[in-house]
Amino acid sequence: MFWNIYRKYILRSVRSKDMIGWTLLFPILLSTLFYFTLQSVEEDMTFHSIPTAVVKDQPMEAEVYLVQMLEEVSAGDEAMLDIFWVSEEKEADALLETGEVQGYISVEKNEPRLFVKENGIYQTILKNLLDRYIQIKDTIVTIAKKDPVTALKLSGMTAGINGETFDFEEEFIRDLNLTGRKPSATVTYYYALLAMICLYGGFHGLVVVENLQANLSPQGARNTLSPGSRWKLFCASYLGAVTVQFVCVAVSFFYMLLVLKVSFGTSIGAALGTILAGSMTGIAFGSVIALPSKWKGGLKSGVLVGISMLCCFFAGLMVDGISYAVEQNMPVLAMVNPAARIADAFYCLYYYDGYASYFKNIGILLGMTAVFGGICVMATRRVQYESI
Amino acid sequence: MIEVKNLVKRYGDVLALDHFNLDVADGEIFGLLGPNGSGKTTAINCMLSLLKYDKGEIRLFGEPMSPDNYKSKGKIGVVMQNVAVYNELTVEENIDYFCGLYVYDKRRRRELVKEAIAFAGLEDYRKFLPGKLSGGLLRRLNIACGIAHKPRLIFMDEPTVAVDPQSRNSILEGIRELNRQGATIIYTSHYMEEVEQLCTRIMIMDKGQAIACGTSDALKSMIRKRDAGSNDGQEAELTLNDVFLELTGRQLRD
Ligand SMILES: Nc1ncnc2c1ncn2[C@@H]1O[C@H](COP(=O)(O)OP(=O)(O)O)[C@@H](O)[C@H]1O
Ligand SMILES: [Mg+2]
Repeated sequence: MFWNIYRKYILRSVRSKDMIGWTLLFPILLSTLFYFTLQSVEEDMTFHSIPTAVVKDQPMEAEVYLVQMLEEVSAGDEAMLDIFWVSEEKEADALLETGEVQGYISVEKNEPRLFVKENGIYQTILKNLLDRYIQIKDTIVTIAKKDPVTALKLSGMTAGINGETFDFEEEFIRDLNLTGRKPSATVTYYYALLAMICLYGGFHGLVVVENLQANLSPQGARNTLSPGSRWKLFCASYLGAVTVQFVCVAVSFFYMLLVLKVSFGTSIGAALGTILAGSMTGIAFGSVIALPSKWKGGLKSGVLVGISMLCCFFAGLMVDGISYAVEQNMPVLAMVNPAARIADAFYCLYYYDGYASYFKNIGILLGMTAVFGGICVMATRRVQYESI
Repeated sequence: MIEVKNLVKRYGDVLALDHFNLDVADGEIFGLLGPNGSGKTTAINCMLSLLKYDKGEIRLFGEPMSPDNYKSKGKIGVVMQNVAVYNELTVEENIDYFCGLYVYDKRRRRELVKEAIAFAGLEDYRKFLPGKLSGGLLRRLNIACGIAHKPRLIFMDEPTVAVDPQSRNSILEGIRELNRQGATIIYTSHYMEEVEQLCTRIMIMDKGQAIACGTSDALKSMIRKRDAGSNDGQEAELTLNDVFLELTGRQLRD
């Protein structure tokens, strides 16, 4: 029964013109438009490191490893940062005011701080960089309290103990997980676009639930009469929807990757993982929107598109820097914005070598899927209708 | 086979079923006859546990019916009043889908689908999408989807609405055949000729109540007795419409 429903769902989707149009042609068209629009922007932006001021005063000198790290990321032709070393905060402030730097870093009370004037992709990168530094530093301090020997080793002071050498500098830079790829503002548009396509999977969700609920369609009534439990019906068609949606988004993804040459980092598998998790979230979300029987006609599609677009807007689909601003001012909102999580998962793959932040995003997406799916299963369970 | 006792169903202020009672025995073709809005569909949807009801008791196959009584549900076939097929699936795929909700064995299913196609006379339309079928053929597809799994109890809710006379006759003949093969059938309609031809017993419904029940002849003789002696010349032409008119003071078709 399960696979019969699954296969027929896929068959129906493949033959549905709407579905193919919206999830296959529309994204390819849109990403091509993006491509031509962004090409000029990209030319402006390539090979620009982020101009950043660093206040190299007494407290900064004390943060030896911070200085080391900053030197590391500003060395070479294609460096991430273009650092203006200044000796006083006032100078840095002046540079920021005139717009010569995107932000400046100083140390106060043993804490590195970032000062910016506006929010944008550059500021996001600077903030990420400092956050990572603080995180690693905290880890070492914590270890030092519990296990001084390891901490000493980590800090490089006891190099050679027990025959091991431990180069903190190298270790630290490695732990920052930077891929060395240049930060790019244009890739984020494509990532947000992919997030949007994933969320548009919600249309599948509408179809899945409509076909399950007797008060939503004659087919729903007919399916309700079948002798199988409702959650199996739901799961089978949901899985069918995920399959179709995943393939469609993957086509857009490969189009962007191979034809438009958008950079997605090195792990294609992990990028596909993002697409899968994003599709699952989108469809589960649409399924929840489909539940109210009083919402007639195009209202559900309207609500779905509205919420999806809002999510994508706050994930930076239209205006660069929005996602950073939301993350700063409403972190919880940013956390539960599926579009922001999808886009960020792509960005983590592009920007970091490690997978920690990537998996955090995927985890949140799967968590949301579970919540939405749970709501649907509960709402459709054993249901008897007031009126159909 | 079916026992319904004192079923009451309200939609807000509308009283759709008013202490409705029904008893159907194994092997019957039972007709529910009543004008539009008399509560036939509501009664069927309650029996199938699709609808909540306010009061009453429903037993199918001797067991209380509930949404998760899968054992009973597996033995029931339903032809809904609204055509419930998928527009993106062909005739054959549609039947296979609905049959597949009941029959999991693929080989067995292939046979059943073939039989259902032959039964509904859809051999020439196997690969057609429903959008390409005429009204009559679409109804036949709807029926084939409902009965392909060879259910023991079949609910048919106005399966012949908007069907041309030719299709209608072949559908009615098919229903008799299903009955000969052992299925019990509940058939609703507001066409009295149909019910009269087809059904072993008939219940006349109005405003959510059963107002009379029996064989076609028994129903007719009911009013014959009442009218005894008044105008005996017309006896032979009595129809169920006369019965309805007599019991409610209104025409069946209005
Ligand atoms: N979903 C509904 N909401 C409100 N009233 C309804 C609904 N469905 C049916 N009714 C009312 O219930 C009564 C019985 O309808 P129905 O069972 O469809 O009759 P029939 O099938 O005999 O034509 C009618 O008065 C109808 O208007
Ligand atoms: Mg009806």
